[in-house]
Amino acid sequence: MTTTLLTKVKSKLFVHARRKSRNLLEGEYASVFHGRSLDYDDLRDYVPGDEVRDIDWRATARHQAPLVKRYVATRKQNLMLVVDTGRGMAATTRSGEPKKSVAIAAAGLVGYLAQRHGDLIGLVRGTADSTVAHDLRGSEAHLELLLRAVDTSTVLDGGQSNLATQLRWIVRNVRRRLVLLVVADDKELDPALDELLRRLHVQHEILWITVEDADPTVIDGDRTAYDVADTYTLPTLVRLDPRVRAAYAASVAERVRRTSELLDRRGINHARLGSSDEVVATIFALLERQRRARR
Amino acid sequence: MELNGLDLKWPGVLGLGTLLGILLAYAVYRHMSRRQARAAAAVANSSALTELPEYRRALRLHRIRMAVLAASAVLLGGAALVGAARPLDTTIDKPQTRSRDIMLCLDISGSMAAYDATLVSTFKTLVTSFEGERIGLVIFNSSAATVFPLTDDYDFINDELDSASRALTGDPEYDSFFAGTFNGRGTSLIGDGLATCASSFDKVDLQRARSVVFATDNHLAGRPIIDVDEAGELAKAKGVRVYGLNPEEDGADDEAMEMRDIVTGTGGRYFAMNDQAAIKGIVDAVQLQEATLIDAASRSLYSDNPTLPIALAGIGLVGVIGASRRWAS
Repeated sequence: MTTTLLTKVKSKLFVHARRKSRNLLEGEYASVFHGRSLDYDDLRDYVPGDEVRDIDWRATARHQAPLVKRYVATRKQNLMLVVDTGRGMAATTRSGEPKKSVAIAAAGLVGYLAQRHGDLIGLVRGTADSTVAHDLRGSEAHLELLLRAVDTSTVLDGGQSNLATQLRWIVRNVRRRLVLLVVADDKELDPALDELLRRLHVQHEILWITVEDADPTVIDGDRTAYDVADTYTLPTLVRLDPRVRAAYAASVAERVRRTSELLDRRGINHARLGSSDEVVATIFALLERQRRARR
Repeated sequence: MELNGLDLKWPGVLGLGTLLGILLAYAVYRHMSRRQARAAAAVANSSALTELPEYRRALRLHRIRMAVLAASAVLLGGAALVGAARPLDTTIDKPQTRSRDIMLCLDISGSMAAYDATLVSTFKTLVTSFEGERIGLVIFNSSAATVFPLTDDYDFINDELDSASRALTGDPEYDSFFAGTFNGRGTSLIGDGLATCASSFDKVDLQRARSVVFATDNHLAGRPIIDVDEAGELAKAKGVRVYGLNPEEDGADDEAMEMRDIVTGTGGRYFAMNDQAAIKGIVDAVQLQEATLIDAASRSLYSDNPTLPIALAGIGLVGVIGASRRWAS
């Protein structure tokens, strides 16, 4: 059997777990998206990342190490992966992989943590002119299905990218509260999108992941670079011009600054990813920030 | 110089070369596009790059550079092709200047002694008026001797004429100049002298303009083998024109009249030595005559003329090198 997409995600997580406890990441997720019930279940060892207020101090006093309380029937969260599957996501990212690999790794990791936590996972994907929604379910097979849907629908000759279409669909069609993991193309956020984010943020909790574009000014001279939107080939000598490179770097830095300002202003936690190797560390940092922000 | 003014030795090279060039360009294009397709990197949102003013400026420069490169390459290739087809310069060569033979014929008898030095200097003046003609000198007294045969070596001719004028002014060192001129019966055998001169032309089977400049006073003193009339007939039969140059010591006497009749009978002209127009008359008459005689013999000469293609190819090469230099800092 071929390696499933989720297996890849898990293997990334296990490689990472050599340095950081895997429980740590799960604890991180749990403390961000916990739903507490009042039905106490049992105690377990404290792992860094657990809420301090979950520590059972009396039990800890009788024990050598800190213990935290676990509750049964924690309310299930609904995690909705919102993934852009336009042709822009089939393009190359900073590491040279297709952007969709990074998108799948990120969505897969958060989805896996959610699934382990017992949450339901759904998917809203699409291009500038069509949106497909998948049901919220809690099984690992379902998550694998979602990742595969993202993988197969993101192709170079697909529709153009425009995440506003998917966000508008959610505004119109989703009534209940969701945790939205938005995996976005590396674009300027226009005012229309800003307005959508304002409305969505009232109802939902949003995590925003931007998948970076490859820098055309550093792609090797023996390869040609073309834009997926219109197949326009960038003249190699022009894109490798040092002055063009410097100007492009400055403009990218400026756009990143504007985007993060906008998301910060809306109170949306965000991160940029340019390689699937960075996914675990970046997601961990993102969850960590989310936990702190909620306090 | 206009390009279409040039003839090409191998015009087929142009067509063949153009065809090869097109095939080569197509092959390179195929290779490049296949390589591109293999190693192309898809990027998204490149408008962030293409909308930068720096990018637009670099693109404009790049396009100019590519245009210069293409134009230079076409110029280089085209000029190289034209050069390979061997452009020729066609010159219509009219070889009449080289088809004239002029025999100077000088009477050195005692009666002429006073005039010979002047006549030699007249010959020298005459020689400077010609260019390319072959000139020879025959002197005669009782017998005729060839001083130098027909030649177009003008330095040599001038040297010989200088020697002649030295000898004729009585320089004893040049006595040998007169060797071979006292073998006949009597002195001043005019007819023998003219006949020798008229027979001194070589390449008799070639149609060439042949002239004799015949300087004598026509005062016969002895018994010639051939008399003047017969010599005139001989000259006429050989197609030789005789131009008479007479000192006319005694004015237009009978001998002068006879000589005039003979030279005009061969188609030549008669001049008195003190006639200022004599030299010019002889030169004009000789040149006029020859021009009408051998006009038909003009031929085309082809010489390689690669200057223009090489210059254009050089310009093209400079353009190619200049434009294909990578981004110089």
